[in-house]
This record gives sequence, structure tokens and C-alpha cells, in this order.
Amino acid sequence: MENLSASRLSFKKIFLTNDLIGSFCPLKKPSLDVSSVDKGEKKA
Amino acid sequence: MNVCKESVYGLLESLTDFTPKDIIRKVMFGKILFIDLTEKSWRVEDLPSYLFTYLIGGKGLGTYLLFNKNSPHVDPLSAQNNLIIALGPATDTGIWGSSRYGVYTKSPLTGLYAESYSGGNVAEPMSRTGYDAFVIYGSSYSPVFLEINEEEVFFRDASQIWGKDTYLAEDEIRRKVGRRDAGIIVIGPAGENLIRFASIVNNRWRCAGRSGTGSVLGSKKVKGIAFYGSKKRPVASEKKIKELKKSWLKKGMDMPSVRFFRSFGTCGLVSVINGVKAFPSYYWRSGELDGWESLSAESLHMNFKVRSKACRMCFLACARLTEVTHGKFEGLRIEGPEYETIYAIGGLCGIKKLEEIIYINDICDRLGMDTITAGNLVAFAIEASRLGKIKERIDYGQTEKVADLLFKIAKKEGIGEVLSYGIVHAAKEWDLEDMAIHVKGMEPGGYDPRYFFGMALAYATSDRGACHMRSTVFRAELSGLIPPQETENKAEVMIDYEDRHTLQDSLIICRFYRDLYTWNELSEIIEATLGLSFEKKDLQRIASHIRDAVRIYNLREGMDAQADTLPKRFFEEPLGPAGFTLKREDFEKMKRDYYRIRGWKENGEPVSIPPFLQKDFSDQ
Repeated sequence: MENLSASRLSFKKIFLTNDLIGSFCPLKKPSLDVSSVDKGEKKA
Repeated sequence: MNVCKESVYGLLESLTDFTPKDIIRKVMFGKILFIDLTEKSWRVEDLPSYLFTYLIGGKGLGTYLLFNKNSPHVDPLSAQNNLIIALGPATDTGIWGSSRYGVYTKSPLTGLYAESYSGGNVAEPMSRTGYDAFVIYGSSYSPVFLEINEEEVFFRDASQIWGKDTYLAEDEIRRKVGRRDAGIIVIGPAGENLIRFASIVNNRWRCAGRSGTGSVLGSKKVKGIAFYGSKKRPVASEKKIKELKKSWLKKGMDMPSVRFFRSFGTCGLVSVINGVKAFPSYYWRSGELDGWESLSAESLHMNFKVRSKACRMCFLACARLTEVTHGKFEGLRIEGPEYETIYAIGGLCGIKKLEEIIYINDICDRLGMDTITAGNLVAFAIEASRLGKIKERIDYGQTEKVADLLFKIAKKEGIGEVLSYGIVHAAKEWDLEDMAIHVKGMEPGGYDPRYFFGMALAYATSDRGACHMRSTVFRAELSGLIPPQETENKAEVMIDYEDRHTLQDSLIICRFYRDLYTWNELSEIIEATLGLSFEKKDLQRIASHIRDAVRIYNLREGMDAQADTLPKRFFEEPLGPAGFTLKREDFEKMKRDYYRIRGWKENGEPVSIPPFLQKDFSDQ
């Protein structure tokens, strides 16, 4: 797991990459699938 | 403008069958959007206009919906718990302090009524969808984010941002929705992992922080919601609103409390509360933090790059956009830190450098967790460590260990898992129940009740636990309106604040306008928006009924009057260094006065059920 301690990393770098808590997610670069639009069904 | 000259409230109350009567004009949108995450479907329910005469909106509306739509004793993190986002008559009208939304649900932290509010600029896009409230229930099988507009509800895949921090989630959802005018709320890893004090975040740093509303969204696998639309909320008189705004701006800019917030932000309270020696420090052992000067507003403005920032439609501009310009945190930028965060992270955990508090504040915001509860829990773990109740070594002022513990909480690792369930669970697990500071499972704000007796009463009787926002009676105690340690008439003053705040939360208007919006101004806002003319006694009755409704909800969930108390330490441990004490008999007297004035029985039960709880008025 990526070490998140600011004492061992440049905080400026962490801040600018906006990925401080990236280790929570297995995917480093999120890219939402635009084809996955799911229109909800309207009920009466 | 259709204003009833006699007391409309009295007229409605005289109705016995609660048949809808067309006695007031159409107000609000009168539409509630229900979203079923399990079925990925939605429907709209209509509410009769006259109902808003009882509810006003916001808190009144949210409470009405929660009581009627939630089954008793529902598990807060189950699909059956409804999460309600409500708006008020003031929303998107341009009234000062109205850029706020309210969240209402059953709290996973306390098992009782939850409410939480947030500012920024998302309330207007929420309102422009054409709904007064959104009721979210069920649970999605996989992570989604919702896109809500005036025509449709979309359930979109969020699996690739599940696990990401709140900043990134907000950016990605905005990019996907492709509208700069969208209002977006999100949760962080804490909400996803069902941490009981997870928050809902918007505009990066604005949070519906308390009561664990973020974990309720997480339990439904909702990473975020985007709102946009073009509907205009109906009001009784736009002309009147413009006139009022103009006069209140002029009046407000001359008020000392406005000048205080504009100049210092909430962190200005650090010197004030330390000055009276009631600044909770070292897990509630001291009322003064040695070296507090380095955490003051003066220090913030001198040593950091700071500019003031406001929510939409606000001239107070209490927020500080702060950038660290030195040391290892150089480049870190947040909105804050607010007073409550400084007290909880700085005072309670003994961290005396503002840049380190900013660092911890940033982690909490990104993880999506309440800084007040986070600071209290970390300080509690420090005490547990000192007493040898846990193996882990952590002590006051150890910033890196505090940061590591917060990550462990979010990930439910080691002692982090114990703390993730909240103070009641941790205290029991570590056999430290007499040490733990909380009411009904939630920790207090930064005003020690051994000095502020009004806050002792407010913490003990608040519906969502030891909340400092339901009645900010400390304002009256600080200003000299009533001595802090006086018990005579304290309940009356506390209730006056509580009732005005109930109306503010129903309209929904920022708490910091409390000095500007007294009873008269609240009445003017209701007249200009809802077209109803109320006298002070009517407004007090409306507020009292809403307050009773919340009480009845909590009693239904199993709470009793014994829960209206304070931690043992507040009665038995004098607050150093000044030695302030709170006698149990003084507290019990204030509590008896409170019950009596509220018209409650000795066991804390309201004597009657508010009219709007007697029937579900919606069309389903």
C-alpha cells in the first residue's frame, strides 16, 4: 500500500495530484464510462 | 400577496378532521421526489400547501417525512432507512444566509433522529429541480451516483470512483454530468465503509458533518448526487424580499457579530473561549490550551495566506480560504479551519500548530468524516493508550499518529475499527465508559458545560446528541445577557434560542444570522415567502410543535428521559485551571424547568401529538 504519511512525501505533490487517498481505490485514474447512463423508471 | 390577517395557525389547529382546505395560496413546490435505489425507479408525491403552515419546510418537512416514511426501529444502515434532503421556503430566493440544505435520517451514530446542514452553493441547484425534498431509500447493488433534474432521475455507474476521496469524486461527477451549474454532494471512503460519523460533503470543504449521514448514503451505495434544473421556487412577494434584503444588508453590516465573523471567521472564537477558560483541551481535562495563541485567528491571518470566502447569498463571509505557505505542508489549501475543528483536533488532541490542524482537517474532509467526532475519538484513544487499555502508543500532540489513526478508522483497521463504530462502542470495548464524553452517542461542541450552564442543558436535551447548534445559548452567556453559571431563567433563554433555531432550520437559514434574524425578521421572511402573517406566539407554537415531533420520533425509537443527561465527569471533575464545576442538582433544576416550559411530562414525554404527525397527508 502507498505510504500516506506526509512526513515522507512532499505534501505539495500530494495536494497537486489530488490523490491523497488514492490507495483506497484499486484504480489510479478514474474514468467514468459514459455509456453507462441508466435512466430510472418513473412510477405513478 | 394572500396574507391571512388573523392567526392562520390557530385556524388550522382548530380543524379536527385535517381535511385539506384551500385557505392559503400555493407555496413551495408541494412536490416530494421519492427515489428507490433497489428498483432504480422514482415517483413524485404531492403535499397540500396548507401543510407548510405547520411545517414551514426544511426541518419541519424533513421531520414529517421521516416520521411518516420510516418504520419504527429500522436499522439506520439498512435499505429501509430513508435519507431525506429537504429545502426551505427561503431556498433560492436570494434571502441572506439561505444557501443551505438539510439532511434528515435515522442516525447510525446514535440510533436516533439525525439532522445536519451544509452551505456552499448547492441548495439552489437542488431547488431548481422543482422539488421541496428528496427521499432516498432502498439500496443499490453496485455503486451509483444519481443525476436529478426537473424531468428525470438517472442512476449512473460510480464503481470507478468508489474508494476515491471527496475532492476527486466531486470533480469526476461534475465532469461526467457536464454542467458547471450542477450542485454536487458526495461521500468519501468513510461513508463507503460505513464509519458511523461519516459526513456528506459539497464544494470540497462544506459538510453536513454530524450524525453520520454520509454512512447512510454509503449503505445505499450512493457515492454522490448531482442536481440541476431551471424551476423557480414560488414566493409570496419578490418585491418584499428585495426590500428586506436591502435593509438587512445595511443593518447587518453595522452589527458587531457580523463584523466579528467577517474579520476573523469562526476561528475568532479560539481567543474568546480560551479567555473565559472553557476551551475543551486534553480530552476535556482543561478549559485552556497552553499555547492557544498559536491557534488563534490572529495567528491564522498573520502566518498563512488567507482570504475570506462566502456561501452564495451571504454577506458574512465567515469562511477562510487558507493556504499553508511554509514548512512540509506548503501548498496545502483548505476552507478553514473552523473553530470546532480547532477545538477538537487542536484542543482535545493537544496539537498546537495550525498547519498541522489544517493537515488533519484536510484528511477528514477527503475521507468524508466529521472533524468534531474524529477529534474526540482520537483524544479518547490517547487517554486509553495512557491508561494502558490499548496496546497502541499514541499521545497528545503526535500529529502523524493522529493522521494514521484517522486512516485506520476509515479503513476499519485495528483500533480504528473499534473507533469507527463511535464513542459508545469504543468506551464499552475498552472498559472506559466513565471516561467517555458524549450524550446519546454524540460528542459535544467546543463549549465546556462546566462553564456554560446553558450549553449543559442544550447538550443534554438535544435530539441528536451533545449538539452545540440546536440552541446556541452560549451566545447569550458570552454576551452577558445571562450569566454563564446562572440557573434561574436559563431554560427560558435556552428555549428562546432553540425555537428560533428550529425556525431557521425550517426556513433553512444559516445559524450565523441569528443576531440579525430575531422573531420579527423571521416573521417577515415567512410573510415574504409563504405569504403567511404570524405573531411571535404563533411562531413559538410552530417551533414547539416541530421540536415535539422530533422528540416523539426519538421516543418511538426507544429513547427515554434518562438519556437527557451529561457524562459523569462533567459533574464530578472540576474544569481546570479555573476549577469550574457543575452541580448535578443545578443541572436537574434546569432540566425540570425545560420540561415544564416545553409542556412535557416529568418523564420527558410531550403531552400531545403535533397535528401534522397524526396523519400522512401525501397522496400515496
